[in-house]
Amino acid sequence: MSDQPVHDLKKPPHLEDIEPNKGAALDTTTHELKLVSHSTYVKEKTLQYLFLACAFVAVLAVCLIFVFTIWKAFPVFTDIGLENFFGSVWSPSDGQYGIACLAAGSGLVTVGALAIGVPLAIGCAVFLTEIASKRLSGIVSTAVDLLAGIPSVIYGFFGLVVLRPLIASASGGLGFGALTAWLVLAIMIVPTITTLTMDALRSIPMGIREAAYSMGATKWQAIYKIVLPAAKTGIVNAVVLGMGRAIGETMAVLMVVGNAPVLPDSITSPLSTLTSQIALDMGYSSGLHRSALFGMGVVLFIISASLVGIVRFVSRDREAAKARKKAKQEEKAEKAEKAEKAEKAEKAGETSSVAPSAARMEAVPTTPDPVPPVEALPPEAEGGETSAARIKRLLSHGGSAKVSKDTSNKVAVTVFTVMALATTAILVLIIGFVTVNGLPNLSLDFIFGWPQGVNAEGGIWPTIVSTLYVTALAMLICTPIAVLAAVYLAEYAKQGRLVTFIRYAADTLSSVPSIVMGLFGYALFVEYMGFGLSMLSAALALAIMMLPIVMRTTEEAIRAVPRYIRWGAYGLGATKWQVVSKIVLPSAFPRIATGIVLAIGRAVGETAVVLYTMGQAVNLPVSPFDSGRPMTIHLYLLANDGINMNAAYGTALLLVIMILAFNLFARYISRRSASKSGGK
Amino acid sequence: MRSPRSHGLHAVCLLLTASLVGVLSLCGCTSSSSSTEITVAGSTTVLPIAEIAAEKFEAQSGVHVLVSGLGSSAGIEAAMNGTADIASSSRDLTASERDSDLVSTVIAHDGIAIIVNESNPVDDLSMDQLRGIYSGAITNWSEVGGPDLAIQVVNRDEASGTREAFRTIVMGDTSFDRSAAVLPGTGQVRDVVSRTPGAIGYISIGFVESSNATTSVKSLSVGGVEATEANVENGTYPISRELYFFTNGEPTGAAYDYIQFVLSDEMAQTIRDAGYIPVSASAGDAS
Amino acid sequence: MTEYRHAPHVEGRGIHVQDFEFWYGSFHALTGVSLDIAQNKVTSFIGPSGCGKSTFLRCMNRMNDLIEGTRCEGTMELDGSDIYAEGVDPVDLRRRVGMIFQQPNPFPKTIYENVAFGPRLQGVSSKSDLDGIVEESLKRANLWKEVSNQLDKNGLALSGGQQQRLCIARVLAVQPDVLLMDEPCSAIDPTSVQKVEDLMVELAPEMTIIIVTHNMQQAARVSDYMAFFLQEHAGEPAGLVEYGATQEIFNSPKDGRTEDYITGRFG
Repeated sequence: MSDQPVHDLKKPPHLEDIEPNKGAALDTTTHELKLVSHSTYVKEKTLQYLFLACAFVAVLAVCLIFVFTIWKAFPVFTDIGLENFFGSVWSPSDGQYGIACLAAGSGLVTVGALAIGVPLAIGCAVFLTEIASKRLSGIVSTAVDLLAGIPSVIYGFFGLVVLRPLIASASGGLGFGALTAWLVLAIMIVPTITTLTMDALRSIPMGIREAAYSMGATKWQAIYKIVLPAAKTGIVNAVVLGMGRAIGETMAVLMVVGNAPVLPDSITSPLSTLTSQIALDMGYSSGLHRSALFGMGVVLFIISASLVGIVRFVSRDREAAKARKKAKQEEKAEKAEKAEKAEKAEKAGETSSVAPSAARMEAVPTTPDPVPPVEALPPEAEGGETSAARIKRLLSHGGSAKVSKDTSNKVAVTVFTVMALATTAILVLIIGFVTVNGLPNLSLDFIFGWPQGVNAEGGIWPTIVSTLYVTALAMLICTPIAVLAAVYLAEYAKQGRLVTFIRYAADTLSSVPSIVMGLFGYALFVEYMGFGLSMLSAALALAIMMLPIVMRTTEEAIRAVPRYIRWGAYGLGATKWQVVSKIVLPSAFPRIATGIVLAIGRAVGETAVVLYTMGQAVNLPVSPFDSGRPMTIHLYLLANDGINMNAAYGTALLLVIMILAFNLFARYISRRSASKSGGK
Repeated sequence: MRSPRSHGLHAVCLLLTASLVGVLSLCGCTSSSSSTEITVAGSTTVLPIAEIAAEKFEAQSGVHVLVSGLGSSAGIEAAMNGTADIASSSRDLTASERDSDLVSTVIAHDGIAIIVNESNPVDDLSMDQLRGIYSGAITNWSEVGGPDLAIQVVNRDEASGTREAFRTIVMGDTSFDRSAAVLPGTGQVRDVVSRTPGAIGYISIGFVESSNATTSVKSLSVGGVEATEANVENGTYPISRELYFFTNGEPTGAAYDYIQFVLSDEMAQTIRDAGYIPVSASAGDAS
Repeated sequence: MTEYRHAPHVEGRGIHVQDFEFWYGSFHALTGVSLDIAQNKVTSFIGPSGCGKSTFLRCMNRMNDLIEGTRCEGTMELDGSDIYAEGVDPVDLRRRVGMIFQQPNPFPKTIYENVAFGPRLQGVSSKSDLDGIVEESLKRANLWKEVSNQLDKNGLALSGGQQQRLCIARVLAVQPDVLLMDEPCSAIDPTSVQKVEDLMVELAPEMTIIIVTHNMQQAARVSDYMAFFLQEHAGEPAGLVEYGATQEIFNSPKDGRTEDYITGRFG
């Protein structure tokens, strides 16, 4: 490094002349670099801590849920005793609180649902990503999304009035039992697993498939040998999350299992599960019985939290690899390119003699070895044959398999197509069932009238108002916190333990079974904080449940805003908050709105959370402290009573219409924004 | 158990006490101001009746009635400690509860019919046979004079007042067979039994004939006595019970008015719709 | 490794860099960079991919602060003030040192709102003031004629070249002293390239322009001074090889590596 020129440059004579001097006010203001002003600093820091606090709400919620459920379950350790609690006899009136049979019931129901649902879901996902034409794929994936939006109480209702009688007449029993629950739950977990599997399949680079095809693989071979193995981790995650949903499902199970807390004799005899037993008993239980229910809540919480742990563990490597890759791309892109180039240059230098041999050496281990033993070869061939001719000859050994290759491809493609169409057919069936039975009961009087008499003849207006009231209140509470928390995670947080911790908390929170959320809401909001059975209690519990969902979609939306746009704003001298509030959030708005609308759809359809936090009184809520009965619970009670089924069908139809409307609206928002930003 | 409404109820009680003091200071004037509220807590069986009565009563008198279904025991507890003005109950007081100042009023009769599928040739069961079936000792209809068909027992959930009544009247100290299906609603029991040849269930007599249902069931006679309203009223049908209101001391003011309203002819049809037999009707018949 | 033979004559205040080092986490990306950049001239940074020229450019308005784990040492002064001194507000720095990126990045807002964004950040709120700023900036960016009657159109609806000029107009609206351009022409069509190059020449008398480019001809056409960066061995930090007047570097490069690069022997 030669020094002289540098020194020359350091103080060019004329520069000294114009050295900023205090006399020229204009000069100093324009040329002195401004220091960070105290107010800006305070403002930005305050905002950052506010966002951090929002992000911590998820952590706090998880801790509170755990602490409160454990606290209410404490007599399980002291008065009931663990031996009793994990025993096999559930008979609260005799002081027997054994949950073993209930847990076994949960396990049985879940395993069966997975056995039916997983192949269906994976088939559906493969069809959608690998086989279907764009148009068909659009239809089926809409069906899958809408299936995901249908509330569990509708599935339970469908299982109760459609599947149960079918199974009853087929088996000669009552139709309540594991088999019915399997079918209902399988339908319910298909959308979850399908969507996640599709994500996994889509993340596999197109090039891999093209490589497989270019080597003569059929579609089925490419799927079976290349795509599915490559997506293995993602699919395992999808199945585990589907399992979590199945274990935690309450209302649908409650309506079809028959609620006998024993080990069932057959798959068509009644049994009970942890979740359904909680929902069934919570309303009237007291004392130790209630503690035992909270104890079951703790067990469910631990199961779901461990499933999340498993998912995180399984996907850790994948995520880490992804993160590494991303970091490399972002930070060292230039370096990588350069290295590559240097390598190329190097190779080009050394080349010709070395390269082919190296390539050959690499190729050897990767080629599958159907090479017949050398002795089998005619001796003259070994000497005279070119390698191309030899390969050709060896390949001809595999020719006989060709017919079955095409057949298996056809069969496989057909199977996948049938699975996808079956899923769509199920949606059509459910909606058709609800519509055909519900439509004759829909009228203005039904929508705007009040329930009359003990069997709820008349209308359901108060339940519609209660549903909208509690949903609006919940979203008002949840959305600001969730969005700000997402802003923190996406924009402010440094990747590290804190973020991992918050994400883990959010994932755990989203996996908490809704009945456990209901128990917690009852313990904390209804009892401890004294909000009573009210809109507020239910809305708070719902808000906590929606929090991780809105947080996740918002974070994804924010991350989808291109870095370049952010840089543009920073480059103009925007502060972090200005960039976030003026550029990032507005750009991400359509996707955030989509997420929120979907969350609203879910909140409208939620039953188990509000079952024991809102009360069930038919009431037109005015203040947040009023009790009420949302549509889902109204439907549940009507279906259970089984007396006024017309009102049940009408309520179900309205509920489905509302939820489909929200879902379609969400699709509309996202599609419109996609076409807006995509089109020129 | 802590009452889930305790917070609200405390406020209500304060209000109530205040207004009661006010009322007393006005020399026992019974008319209540429009801001008065009374609280009815307890049996889920009585809940629908109490709610509808509350609505109609409020429309008439302007008195707001808060109704909640916590179960009979919780309601009685609430009435004893003053958090509720009226406890609704589907059972009579226990020995220990009788020591309190609670005053009981019968508001309706309830008879429980044993129902089977219409194709079932069995017409009558004794109390012992019923107990055998529901405890799981008898598992085939051939054991009670029917065809060789497995018995599909349908039970109600523990929150049900009907189950509680069935348990106390029929089962006594014998436990239910826990592997029986537990259904949480009368209509469901009826529907399931109507569609399953081997099924047996129990529901309130008022629901055996249902205008809402498309299928029908057969009700059995018990110990030779048919399950009819008349037999419930005259006390010959064995599986029957009373529904009660309990107040801490003789009911006064709005609470008294409300109870009278529930007993009035205006409520008789509602009570019938709920599957029970109104007291006024039997009183009318008796006179 | 830095060894520059010739330094340009500095005609005013500008950017002064001394012994600058830069790290991405544990990766040492740049080392020993020292140079002075002349005010109100166009300076180009050239070199093969991965030689750290974009990184260096992004250090000049502390854009790299936004990437986690980055770190730098050495001196970097703008008009005599150390931009990395403690307490310096990077936000204000970036207003004074504007930046244009490789990918045109208009905000998903209207053309008007894109240009008005910066002034609004500075607290300009009067409609007539903003109108004036928007018009002038678009005129200076040679975009006014094309968009004057469609200011309400979404910025993303413009063609790539127009988008890039919109981004320039957006930067001009906050009157920066220095304009950093990171391969501004590599993602747009040739006609637009011409327009952007013309623009640089027009703007040069008013502001210091630094451009990173892979296009040798472009560097020759627009820049007064040229700096050549190189990373000699993979995994080692890159550095400045030669710096001088553009003509001189093209006609008589002092360093063999510069010559190799210019004559196309690598990259």
